Amino acid sequence: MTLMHEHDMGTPAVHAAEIVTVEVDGVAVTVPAGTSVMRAAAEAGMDVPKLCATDTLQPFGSCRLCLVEIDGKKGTPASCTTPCEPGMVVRTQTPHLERLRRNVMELYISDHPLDCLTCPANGDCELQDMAGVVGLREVRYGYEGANHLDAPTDASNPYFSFDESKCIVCSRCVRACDEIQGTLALTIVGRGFESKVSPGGTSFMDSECVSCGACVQACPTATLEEKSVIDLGMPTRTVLTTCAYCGVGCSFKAELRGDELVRMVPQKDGGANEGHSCVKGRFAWGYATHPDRVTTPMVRDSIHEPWRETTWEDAIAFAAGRLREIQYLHGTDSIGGITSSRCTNEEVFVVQKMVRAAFGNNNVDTCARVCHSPTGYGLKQTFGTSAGTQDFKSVAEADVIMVIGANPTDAHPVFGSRMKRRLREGAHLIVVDPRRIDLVRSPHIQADYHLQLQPGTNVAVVNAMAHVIAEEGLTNRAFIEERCDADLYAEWEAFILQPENSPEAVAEITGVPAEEIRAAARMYAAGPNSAIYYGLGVTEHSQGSTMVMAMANLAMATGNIGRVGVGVNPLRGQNNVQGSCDMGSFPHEFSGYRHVSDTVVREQFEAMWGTSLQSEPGMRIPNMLDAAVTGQFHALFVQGEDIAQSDPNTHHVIAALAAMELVIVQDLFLNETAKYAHVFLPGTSFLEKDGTFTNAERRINRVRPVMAPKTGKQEWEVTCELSAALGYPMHYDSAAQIMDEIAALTPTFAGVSFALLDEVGSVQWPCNAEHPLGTPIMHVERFVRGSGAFQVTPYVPTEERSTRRYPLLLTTGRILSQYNVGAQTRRTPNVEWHDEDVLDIHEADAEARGITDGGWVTLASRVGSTVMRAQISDRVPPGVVYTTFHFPLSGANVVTTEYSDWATNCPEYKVTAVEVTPTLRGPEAEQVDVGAVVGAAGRG
Amino acid sequence: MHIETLVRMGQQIARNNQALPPDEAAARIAGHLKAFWTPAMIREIEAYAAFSPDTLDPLLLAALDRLAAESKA
Repeated sequence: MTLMHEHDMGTPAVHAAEIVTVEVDGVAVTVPAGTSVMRAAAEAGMDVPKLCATDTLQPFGSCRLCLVEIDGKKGTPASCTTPCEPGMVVRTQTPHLERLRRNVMELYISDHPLDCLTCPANGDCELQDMAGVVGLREVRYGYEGANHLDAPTDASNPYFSFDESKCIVCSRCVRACDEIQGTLALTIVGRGFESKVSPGGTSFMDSECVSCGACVQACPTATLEEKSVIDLGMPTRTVLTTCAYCGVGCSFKAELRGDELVRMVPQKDGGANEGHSCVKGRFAWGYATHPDRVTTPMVRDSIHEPWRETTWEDAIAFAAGRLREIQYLHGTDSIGGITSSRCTNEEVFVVQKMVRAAFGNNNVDTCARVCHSPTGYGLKQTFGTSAGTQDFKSVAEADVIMVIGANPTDAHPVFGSRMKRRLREGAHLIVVDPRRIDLVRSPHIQADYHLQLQPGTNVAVVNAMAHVIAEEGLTNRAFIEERCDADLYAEWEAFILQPENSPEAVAEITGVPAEEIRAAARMYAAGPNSAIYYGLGVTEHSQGSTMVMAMANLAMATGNIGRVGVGVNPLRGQNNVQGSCDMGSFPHEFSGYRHVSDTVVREQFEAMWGTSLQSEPGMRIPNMLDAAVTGQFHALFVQGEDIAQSDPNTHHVIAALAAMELVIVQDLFLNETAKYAHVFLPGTSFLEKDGTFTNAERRINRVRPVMAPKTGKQEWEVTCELSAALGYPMHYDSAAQIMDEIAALTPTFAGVSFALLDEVGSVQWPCNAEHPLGTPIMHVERFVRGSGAFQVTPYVPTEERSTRRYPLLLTTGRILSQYNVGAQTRRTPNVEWHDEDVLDIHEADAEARGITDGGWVTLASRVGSTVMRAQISDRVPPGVVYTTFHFPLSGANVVTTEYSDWATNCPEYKVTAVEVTPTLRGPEAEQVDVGAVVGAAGRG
Repeated sequence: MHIETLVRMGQQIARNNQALPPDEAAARIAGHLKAFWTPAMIREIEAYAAFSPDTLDPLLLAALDRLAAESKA
């Protein structure tokens, strides 16, 4: 489409039951009570000139351009700050108003550079537009007086510049930072003529600014402008698509000149983000055209040989021939595949189909194995389906927000901003985390309780909260009796009331004072709307699944499920974790979470796919890797995942990869896993994909190709060609056809089609005949499984214990500017914020070891060691250290262990016993010796 | 797979069901193994259990007995 302009209604929509009717320029318009005159006028088709107003921010009334006349009211009130009253008669265009507006505009322009034709915002400047709208023809004051035309430009941020000379001090940027992002990094300093926008008296780069882009988006002039626009010029066309970073799944307008992407602008109508963005989605998309991209297929007979570029036909024939040879030698079950949460639903669906139908086994798993598989297990056991219960908007109605093992402001920043907005409005906050994350205390936010527990004791803490709620009669008996299984509740109540679950009993092991747990439990139970948001700090434990069930128990016991403002909400790590799970990527389930042993379901797939399918579960990722080491598994297809960096116990992963006879990697870059691969099938970036992603709120969003695939093929086409070469042809004319097949086979997707998504924007599954436009809130009248199932959740300590040799506990996480293994963000200017992984260590632990801030340290566990810099920090308590896993050089997963969740084998990334010692060497010396590992494994 | 890995996984599943009454726990563990483990993995741990039953959690053994009985039925 041509460049898409979203209509700016001037002030935010008001939601009120009462309505009022006003007359604007002779047109009657009915709006909710509290709506501004400006918005009512816009709804009547009369846009009032404005500069400081925009419909994403609260009205401010500073620019004096939006003046109107209202019968019975004195003067010319600002339409943005004047609410509609019944019967109000408004005039937006009169000679008097026109003269006033021209006078105001004259003053603005008298202190503004007259460089419109060479200005980067030419054609996209509200000041320019308004000068035209008000009919400005002269500036009587001249340009010789005091002005700001020589004010400096701050170009410190890699993505946007701040040209102070163009600033009209409308405060939109300051308000965007306050109201939308919630960072409060910007302010107006000085008074009167000296007033100016300032990022806290320093440069943008050195300020608290998180580069979310909200200020750039809000700026009505070229003051805050994307550097890509300055360099390339104004875009001319728009493609609507979806971000490929975290599980928030923000909708974006990709704005291009021809085939060149100029900028990504958050879409105001995007269901997940409603016009907001973060530094990754907004700016860090340059990796898609990074020179490191590999766009030609490559093969090699041995991982000791150099890669050989080849044709698609040759690469696919090579891969298929070796897969069949391996199956002939070692059996049908000796090969498998891994799907990726970075790929579209359609791409994932065809890979799992290839494994089940062409490989002939169920050895398919997905990278959700190592992040949210316990969510799938735990929520299915308790509620009946493997998904979060709410939409993101729901948080705006929460009275108590409990954040457990998640760091939304860093890992899910756009949702984090929504949450912060609600917290600033007065919602209570309970944080359960070993670290003092930003939410515990940040501008205008203070957690009521920070339960700073010992890593690995989540279940003990939440059980103790449930104990208090049951013991003190704070349960919602009516909800339990009406909605939950009575026998299971009775069994759970008897369990949870046992003395060993009391806060006093667990205080010593959790490190959390009993009274804090009791107080937090009372707050959660009191609600009235209490919502749980959680992340990998819940799932990546030996009791990840137990903890998910324990949280579900807590929500059911207090009736905090099935309406807006409550729920149990996983914050998914990658963009399509939910979707890749939905699509049948787990070895025991077809799409829609139906077990492979279900004959009725399996026969539907067999009929549609025209082949027989195995009825027993296949191997999970850790099973495949372990079986490779023991010589029972020989070939792996890896779609868009870097298991050699992301999966735990790197030495074990590498030994497994090196032991395989064939590893096929489909990816953008030659990642760490590709070092052990024999076939490299170049993949497509999200800017080239055609399909859908499903975010953490079950929202299915379209991913539209912004540019042609740099490889010449969509990834699903490559999978289909490989499948055909294996003797099982799969043919689709388009990604839309794949979705049609998904819909035909998956009840929760029955109503989904590209046509529907193109029409309505997005839908949240279940989307079917019963819910044709999707389901924002689940379990409203009944649970998916019928009645809610309380589960007995005993606390079982992890086997990973701190010892005399490894006395500290390591926990891992993410930072705002980087993403997962960093394959994307490391190839963008985001490295200017974070260019290496560092180890957070408490001052007491550092001092005891002679460790200095910024010094190199060796981080060692019983399975491996690595080197990184230490950062002395009071975010971690004594005895706990923390690092990220974004950089292969430090390779944090060299030290994480083989321990995993009891139910799903999700790795226990969050608890590793380690020791930290100072060292003089950098990390180079600690890198994994590929040759040694391969030699030891005896394969090539 | 390494038998040590399978044993560790099986023992861990047993420990996490220990709060249930023994019969219910055994049934749940058996159901879990059948739902999530490959037949080959179950066969391997069954073989280990026959060889070295004393090293396994009684709940896991009871679950394996249930699976064996089911497969004979």
